[in-house]
Amino acid sequence: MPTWDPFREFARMERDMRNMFDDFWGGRARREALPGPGKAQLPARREEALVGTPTVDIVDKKDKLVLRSEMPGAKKDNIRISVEEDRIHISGKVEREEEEKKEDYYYSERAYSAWERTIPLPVTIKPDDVKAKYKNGVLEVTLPKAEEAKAKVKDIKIE
Amino acid sequence: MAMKKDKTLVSPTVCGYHDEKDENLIVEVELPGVKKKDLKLQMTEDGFCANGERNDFCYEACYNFMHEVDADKAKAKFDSGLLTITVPFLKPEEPREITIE
Repeated sequence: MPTWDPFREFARMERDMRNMFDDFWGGRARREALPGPGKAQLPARREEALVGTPTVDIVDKKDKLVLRSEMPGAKKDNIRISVEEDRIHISGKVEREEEEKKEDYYYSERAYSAWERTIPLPVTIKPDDVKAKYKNGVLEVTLPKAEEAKAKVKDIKIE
Repeated sequence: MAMKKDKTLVSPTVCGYHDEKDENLIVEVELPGVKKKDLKLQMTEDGFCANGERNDFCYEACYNFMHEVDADKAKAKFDSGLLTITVPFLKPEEPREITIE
């Protein structure tokens, strides 16, 4: 379970506000100062990547559901996906290792965090036919719907 | 920078930090869903502009740096939607020790 970090929440709120303004005004030409280490505004490390749970979109495409989640900079091997007929579990871990060799002293510090989500699906799907790919930092999972879940459109003739 | 269509501009998540020896500035820009060919990066001594077009919207980020960098020696790589720029500082930092009275 990720612990609640107020600074991360503020950073996210600030980012969302900024995106809202960008959408409204149609972009900005001004430049913002990128602070060096020690300044509080922007994170010095990608804390979002270490601690945050990625957001997920699920789209209904008639015979299948498509799940998309943006996770730039992740490694395919660190992402786990499993499915059941009516739900999908996604989990991931981020490991960061900093090694420092100082003469005879060898010290290693590892930052580790994990996230996990289980998402119930709106219709039943076929677990055996599920495909997933991770490209350009976007995870995309295709979940074909079970036969009985596909919408059956029946044309009604007017008498 | 002209866009092909009138797509919404979105600010990507950015962060910047120095490397251990304070010799290079490392900037990371999150641009998921952008293909390398749709990514544009420009740099000057005091800032950068990154522009990435995706199907649904465009990422745009323009930032100034706190210290001047040697833009000609900048190296950038784009992996899994993450753009990492490494650029050496123009002048080494010379912090002055302030005596506290």
